[in-house]
Amino acid sequence: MSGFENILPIPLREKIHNVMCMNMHIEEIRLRLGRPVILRGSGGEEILDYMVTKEDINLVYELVCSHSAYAYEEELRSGYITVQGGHRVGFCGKTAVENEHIKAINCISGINIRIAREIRGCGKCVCQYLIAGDENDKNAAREAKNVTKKKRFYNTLIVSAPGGGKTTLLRDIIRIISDVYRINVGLVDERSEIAASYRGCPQNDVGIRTDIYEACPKTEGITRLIRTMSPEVIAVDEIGSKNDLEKLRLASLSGCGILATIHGEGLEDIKNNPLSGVQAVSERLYENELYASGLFKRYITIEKNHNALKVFDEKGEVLYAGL
Amino acid sequence: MPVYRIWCSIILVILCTYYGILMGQREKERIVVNEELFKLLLKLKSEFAYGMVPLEEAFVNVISGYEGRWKPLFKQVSHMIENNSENEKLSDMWLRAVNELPVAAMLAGEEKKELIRYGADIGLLSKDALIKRTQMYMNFLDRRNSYLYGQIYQKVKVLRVLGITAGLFIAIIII
Repeated sequence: MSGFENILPIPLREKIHNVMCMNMHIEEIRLRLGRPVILRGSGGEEILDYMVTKEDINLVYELVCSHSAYAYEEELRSGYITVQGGHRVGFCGKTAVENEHIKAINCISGINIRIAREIRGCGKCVCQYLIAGDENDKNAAREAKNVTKKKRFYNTLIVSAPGGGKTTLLRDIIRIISDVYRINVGLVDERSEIAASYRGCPQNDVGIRTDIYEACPKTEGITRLIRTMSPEVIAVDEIGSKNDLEKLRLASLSGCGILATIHGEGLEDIKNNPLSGVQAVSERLYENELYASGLFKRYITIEKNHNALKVFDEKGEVLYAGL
Repeated sequence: MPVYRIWCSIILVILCTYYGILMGQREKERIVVNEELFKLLLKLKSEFAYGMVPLEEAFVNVISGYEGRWKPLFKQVSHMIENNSENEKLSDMWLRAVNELPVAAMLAGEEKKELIRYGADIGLLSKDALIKRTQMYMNFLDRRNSYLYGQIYQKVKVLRVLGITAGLFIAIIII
């Protein structure tokens, strides 16, 4: 177990340990009051012979908050807390609403523990295509010692369907360009999924030259990074509105490279005006404005079923295709 | 009359008088102990209001530069929270720490109960509720100390007199 056992009741911890010994890779642990614990992972779903009681919910809540609920009020209002190890614990229950905003969650009835998963090296094969001058050098991403001159980063957009691995790939690319290419990266980690900081300390490796704005709206975070941290590349996850795109465009005009992700089925989804699938993308971004904007010079698509990665340039030509 | 009896009587009177004075001092110590706790709670309230750090860090900050009798309590609870491999609740950890604390033996029954109750409450409260709860406990300590101050001189006198009287009484019996 990788650290999330510290927030579980001991009897439950033992049952989960037994399941893990059967080689099930757990991605989520769901605790619902009065119902059995459900584990979800790569092998499907496993329902444990353990009924969740009120005492379990209260204990998990207390342990997640480190017995300091007052210090996590803001996070609780957002509905989740990141614990040591980068795992995200989400809460749901009866809410107290004030002025149409959730003020607090009372009577917690459900807890979802998402186990953090970092895949180091998954971005190694694509990074060289994102750096100006390195496209033809297959060894560029591996030879850190030979990188003596700072490189220019192409504005890059990662496109994938939900659950395809955009965030995992984004994280690794940030790490590589920060450590290997010695680029200062400014990361706006709006949902604390990329760096997953715990008490200010990133639980995932995002590189030694990365500055992080955590739990901050993208537009606000981008402005502050440019103003205060002099980033060479700004990284954001899941752009979803015209405001996001506009802010990124301004950042690009300020001389920053852009690295972003977006929901989509593929490059065609971004180029055309889809009527199905991720239609919301086009609606938010005014049809094919995203592609037509010319902001991005590189597109990386991830096909969920095949785990296939492709890198395209701004003309749509394939620069790299692999697994 | 044997000389040893006279000497025994004198020693007894001195010991009983000394015991009476010691009990009087202990009553005064209770006030000092409560005042020390009051000051620590004041610092803790500021940590809750402005520091917004988790409890174990708040406790460490509060006892920084403090070497008094309450330091072991906050230090131990902070350590327990940090190394909570048995996933205990804060109320259980706090109770254990209070029971192991030497100065807790000096507290009256109600004072100790209130201290235990405070620790049981602070883990799950919102910031506003926590500040109010801390203030409530501080008000309790303030009232206790006001009561003790009012009583202290009479108590100390009574205990000293009792000590001397008991010593004389036993001396008379011996003689």
